Amino acid sequence: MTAVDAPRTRVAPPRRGLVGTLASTDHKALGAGLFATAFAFFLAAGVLALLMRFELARPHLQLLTLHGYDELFTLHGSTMFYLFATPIALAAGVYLVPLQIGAARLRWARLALAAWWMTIGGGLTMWLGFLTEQGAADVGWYAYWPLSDMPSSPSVGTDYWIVGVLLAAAAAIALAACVLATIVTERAPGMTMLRLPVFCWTMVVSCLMVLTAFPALIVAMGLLLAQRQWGGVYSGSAGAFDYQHLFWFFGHPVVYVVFFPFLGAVAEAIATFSGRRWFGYKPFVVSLLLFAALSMSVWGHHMFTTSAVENRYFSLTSTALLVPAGVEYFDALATMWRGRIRLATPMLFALGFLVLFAIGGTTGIWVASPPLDYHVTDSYFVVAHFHYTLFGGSVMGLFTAIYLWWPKVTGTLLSERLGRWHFWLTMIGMNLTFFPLFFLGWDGMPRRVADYAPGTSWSTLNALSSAGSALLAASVLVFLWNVRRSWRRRAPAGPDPWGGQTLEWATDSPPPRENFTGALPAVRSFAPLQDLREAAEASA
Amino acid sequence: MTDTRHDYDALARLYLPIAAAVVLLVLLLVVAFAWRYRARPAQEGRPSRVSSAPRTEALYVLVLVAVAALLLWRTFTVEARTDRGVTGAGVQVDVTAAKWHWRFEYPRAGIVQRGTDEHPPTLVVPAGRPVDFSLRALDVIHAFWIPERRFKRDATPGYTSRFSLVFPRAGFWRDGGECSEFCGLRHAWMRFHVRVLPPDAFARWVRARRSGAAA
Amino acid sequence: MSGRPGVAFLVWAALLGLLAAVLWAVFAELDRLSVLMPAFAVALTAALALGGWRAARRAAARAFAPQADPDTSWPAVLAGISLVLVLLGLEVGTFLIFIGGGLFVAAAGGLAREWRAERRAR
Repeated sequence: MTAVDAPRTRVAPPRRGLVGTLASTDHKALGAGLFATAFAFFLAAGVLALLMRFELARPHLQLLTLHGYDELFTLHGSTMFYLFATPIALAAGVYLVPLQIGAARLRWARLALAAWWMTIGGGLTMWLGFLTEQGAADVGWYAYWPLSDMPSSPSVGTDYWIVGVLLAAAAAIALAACVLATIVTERAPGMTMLRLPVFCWTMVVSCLMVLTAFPALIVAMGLLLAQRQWGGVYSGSAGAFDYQHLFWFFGHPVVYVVFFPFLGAVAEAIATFSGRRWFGYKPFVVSLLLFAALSMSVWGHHMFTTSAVENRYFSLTSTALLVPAGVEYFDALATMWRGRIRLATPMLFALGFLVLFAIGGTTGIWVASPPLDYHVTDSYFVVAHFHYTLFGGSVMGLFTAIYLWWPKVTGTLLSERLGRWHFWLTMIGMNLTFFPLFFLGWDGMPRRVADYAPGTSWSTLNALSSAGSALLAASVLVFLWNVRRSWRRRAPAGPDPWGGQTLEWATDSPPPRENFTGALPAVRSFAPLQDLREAAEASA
Repeated sequence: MTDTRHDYDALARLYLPIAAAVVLLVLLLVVAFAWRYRARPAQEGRPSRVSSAPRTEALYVLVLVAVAALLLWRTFTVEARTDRGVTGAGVQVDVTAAKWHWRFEYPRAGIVQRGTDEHPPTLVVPAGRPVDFSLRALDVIHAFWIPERRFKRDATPGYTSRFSLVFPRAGFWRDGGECSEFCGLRHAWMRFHVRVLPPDAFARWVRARRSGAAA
Repeated sequence: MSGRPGVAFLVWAALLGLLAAVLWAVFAELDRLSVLMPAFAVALTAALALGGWRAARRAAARAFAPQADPDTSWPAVLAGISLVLVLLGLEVGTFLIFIGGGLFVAAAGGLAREWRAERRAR
């Protein structure tokens, strides 16, 4: 077993305060800052959701106006996608990728730093609309033209929203470029692409999708801004369909951008807490690439009811997604098979992910069938579907990542007991909130409605869902309590509390400035520490 | 001529059991594996080192492809029926959507059913006969959704979509039709009623409306 | 020396606050207010951060000296923020585009200095 020289070290800096963190090019501070920014937007968007669910709990308007409700769902969706999910996925990459590949730094860190500030600025700009006279944008997070044009939506809040989206999208492209560049140029010796950790491969495909799909969003939004200022850009039905094509060409890949890194976290957690390396690495890498490629070619399934797309093509590519998804489930379960499973909190969230995303994925195959989609699209069924993939998938995966890597980032441990409370409240709350929505959609309740007629089953189903949302709020409060408690207790975690398999666990918690001091373990596979562990067991 | 609800139900009868089975299987395996392979303090032996099974995985992929192919075959068959297009004969209804109400014109009968933001119109159609629709919007994108028929179509300004529906059973569905594409402030209230009349009653209704009776 | 940046921000924040109050009370100008008020809040926060926090003051003094801490890059932060101002200027007014553009040029200069210093150090 040959040792490998550590990356060239640099002079230690003076102690960094909060002000220094705001301008830090150390990818750990930058990643943590971006992560915290995105999480703050998650909480803000969550509050909007709670307000909506409170309003919908009973028929008739209780709390909001019709217009206020429209602002809420627009900002809820926009904040979740542009200001929370995409930045937080990229933040996980910014923090973890250099550590997992044995690098000392993130490539183009200043670009990433500028991008963080563009995200903050874009988010504030978007929310600035709430302070204007006509309120924030109220056109839906996808802002279909012509509804988003001046005659129907003259409010300056919509213009602010477009500027916010442009900034957040540009920032995402910049961050993805940095992470991808890091993977290409900074890998430790011996780490070929087929020895990249599973999480890094999920970051690769996410970044590829950001770089290919997000420019379409910039074009769509830039043209919309021009249309609103000067006109003459979008016109007629061709304009309406062009906008949808541009938007959904971005809008479908983005849901995978915010999914794959957390699938990667779940994979790392399942492997670690089963005591086995991830099963079927090569098929998994192929399936990730296939998944990503397919996801770039399914966007028309958002337009099945327009009569403007070839429904069969998009139905084919969308249904085909079940193949790579199925491979990933096979690998996850096979990793657990004959393992030695510890149900620590990260593992609980990872297993919850597997179950909840299965519901999201199978209902996705449902809506990939045009005749089935004709009934349920733009209804609460599809709202339930994508919340199962986004919450049951991405958010569960996010909490997996947080519980898994918290010790590495902070050097302390989160409470397992509070983590279990968080997990079970989330499982119950999530299902109570979103499962009734399937039935609401089947029964004919459309999306984006502030109110509904009384005297039907819709009242009960909505009340159940709103009760569930209260549980979800409680679960997040438990998590925040856990964070606060751990921050004050500072139970030392040590470099490797879980028995990790990848290089980030071979350094201190939190890692030193140059990430690794001393020699890196030899990299012979995608799980170098697991190799060492198995070799030690063999010779024992 | 196609009963869209019947088509939907036929497909749902295939998709729903498969979806439920997959979810239950995942849940079962996750719980079973977490229990069966849980770490026990006095455990002997090591976790398995097997980390690939190419032939099993390849076989499994073939199964997945077969499932996808089955779903697609059934979907395409049904969709060909649903999206066949207009028949050209029989009742013709021109639907116009504008913020925030509907208008139904029967060009062959010379009738118009108008709605306002406060009073939804009633779409009156004959039972058991194909009804050809043309759908357009005047201002923003709306969508024509009749949940009981399991069918919706977008109304995009500048584009006329055409489709044909059959309403097998007579009856009255209050708020049986909805706008399902967010179109602004009163989107939630942009609805219409659906009245399906037996063919002779429908003919009587047409005659009565033509001579000026109320809708 | 370390107290002076904070005082400047505090004065600026007070002026913005006064303007915002006048706009609101006298003119009921909500749209302009929506830009001024956050600017006021940011300036005030910056004042507190820089003026009231001794450790932050020391770090800021060190940070603003070029290349003192190779791990920070205020020009990069400025580049990001100036791009925000430029795009926001499309909505708020041309003056903001110019301000943002000017700040971006300054940031680019700072970045160029940092790159040169990095090359010299290698």
